[in-house]
Amino acid sequence: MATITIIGTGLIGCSFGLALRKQGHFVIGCDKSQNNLILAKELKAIDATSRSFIHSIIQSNIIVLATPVDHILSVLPQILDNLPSNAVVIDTGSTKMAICNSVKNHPRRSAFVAAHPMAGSEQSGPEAAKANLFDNKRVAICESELSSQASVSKAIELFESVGLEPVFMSPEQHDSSVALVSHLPQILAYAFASLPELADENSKDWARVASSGFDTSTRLASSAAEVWLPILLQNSNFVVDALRSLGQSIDLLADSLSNSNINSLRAQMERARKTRATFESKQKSKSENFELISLTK
Amino acid sequence: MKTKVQVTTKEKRISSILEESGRIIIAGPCSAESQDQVIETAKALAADGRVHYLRAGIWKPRTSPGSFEGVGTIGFQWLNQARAITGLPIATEVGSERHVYEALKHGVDMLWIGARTVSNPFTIQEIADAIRGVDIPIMVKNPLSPDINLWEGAINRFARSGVSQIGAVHRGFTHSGKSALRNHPNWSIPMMLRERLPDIPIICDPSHIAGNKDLVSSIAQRAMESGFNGLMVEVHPNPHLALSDSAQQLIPNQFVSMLDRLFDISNLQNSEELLSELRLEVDILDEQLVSALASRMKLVKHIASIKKDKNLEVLQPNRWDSIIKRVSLLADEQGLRPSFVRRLFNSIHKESCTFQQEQLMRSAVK
Repeated sequence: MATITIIGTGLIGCSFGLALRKQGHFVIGCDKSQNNLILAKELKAIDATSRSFIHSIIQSNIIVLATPVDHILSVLPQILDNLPSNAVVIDTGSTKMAICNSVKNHPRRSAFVAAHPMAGSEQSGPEAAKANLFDNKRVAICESELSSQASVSKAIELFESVGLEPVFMSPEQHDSSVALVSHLPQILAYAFASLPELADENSKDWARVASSGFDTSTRLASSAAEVWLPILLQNSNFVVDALRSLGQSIDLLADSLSNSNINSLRAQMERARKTRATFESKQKSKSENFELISLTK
Repeated sequence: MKTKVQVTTKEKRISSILEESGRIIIAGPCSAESQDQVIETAKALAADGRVHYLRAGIWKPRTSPGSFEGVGTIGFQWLNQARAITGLPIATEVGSERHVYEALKHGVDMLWIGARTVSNPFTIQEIADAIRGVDIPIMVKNPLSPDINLWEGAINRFARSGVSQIGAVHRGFTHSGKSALRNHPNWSIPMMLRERLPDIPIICDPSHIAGNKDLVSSIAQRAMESGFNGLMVEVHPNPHLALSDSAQQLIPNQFVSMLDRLFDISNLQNSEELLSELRLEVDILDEQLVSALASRMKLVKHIASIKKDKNLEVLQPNRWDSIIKRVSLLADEQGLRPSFVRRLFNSIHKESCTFQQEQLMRSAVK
């Protein structure tokens, strides 16, 4: 059994809490919102609450940092400054370059494991947490060469215990990949759902016929801005590149369609289907890592 | 996970705790009552991170028979479970040789000696002999009576038995009569003890001095300002259900707020919350002021009837002069303006005289 402090008792933090408490670990929750803390305790995602992580980390073996990425950036050095000698701190932020850079030269860098569990939901807060959120999902671990062997193995042990399979990569590889596969879908949902044609006053027409297609392509637009603004800002270079590329793709589709260029349309659809097939096959064979350098085995 | 629980304070000596954090904090329920209660309290205290020892009474020496006298040795199982989960070292009270053996057998990390036990040198010697050769920290509470020699004597008995980690706990002294506080703080006595035994850390038990949860914080504040080396505080997850000392136990949140207030100025809770807590304390003091005035008036009534029997004047100028002199001195000691307290007492006096006159008139009419 270990004492684990979870900083940020939202969707990710509480999902870790639920899964880790089931294994008998002592889980302390810290959050700026007293309501979140009370809720997290009621939902049995944490054993006890703490208002100040600076105190609670002193007692902990493992600290899971699951707050928005701008907050991670500002508190990570402080946590490392106060970390007990044999403890490890693991972040779960959706961006990795800025976070890794911020502690690159910290004397306690080896006690930090930069990670990003590839799981989530458009819902946020403790109520949205699930003990099986990470089941059969992957977790990216970045710049593990700067973490000590002991820190990495503790992190892997924790991740595997909640069902996450570790994949290793550089912060750059991570940020550019998630810009494409995580941040772009997010921003695409915003782009689509914020169309003036879909504004509230026009809802009488479109809302009567909107169904699953609309649902899947706008689901992510429900996500909390508090979480996503800092992510997009920290990864803006890669996200803007991806957006521009998407713009070209959309332009191409619009041109082909307005010119009734069936061949071009068909070719683009084919490419899209292939991408989808690749994703599906990789989902099935989880043991293989998609275009990621694996140092696990 | 194979990761072992990291016990941060267990192997630490009191001196190194004091060196590292500048104070030692012991907290927990007055008595261990159930597995849930002990573990729930331990979790809440460990989560805060500023507590060094979990306290809980297993055997409770109580003033009257028939009160809850503790759960006995089963409580050690709960305390050990709480320690296994949270890593918090555990402390309990011992009052006899047998208690010491039981506590040591169950791996307790710290012992304290209660006020009633300290009052009896025979028992203290018996306990000191039982502990001989075991390196365990012992916290010695002050005796019930304000007798510094008794307190110092108990500490010296432990020191002579080779106990190398001794602390003193100021928990106030029994007083007769009504008071806002359950036990009289007599701050000068622990200060004298400090002079006599400069190497012994002295902590304060504000719960027993206050006897009322709303006053715990201000007593703790006073103690820390006077240079005490830490606190022993009673914390219970549901004080209203507590089997002993229910009025003076704080819930974990109140305890954490108190620590924030005492030790983390920068981390101050929001000012609204603080204001409402302080106002509550003011309300309680006001209640006590009014009830003290009422008690005083009752005595005045009694005096009036004696004066009547002896045919004495209502106004006894000498007596009044000495009262005014005395309260002016008291006011000065407490940092109040003597002129203000004189005005206040003159107005109380006026009311008392009117009251006595009325009493005399009434009986004269009869």
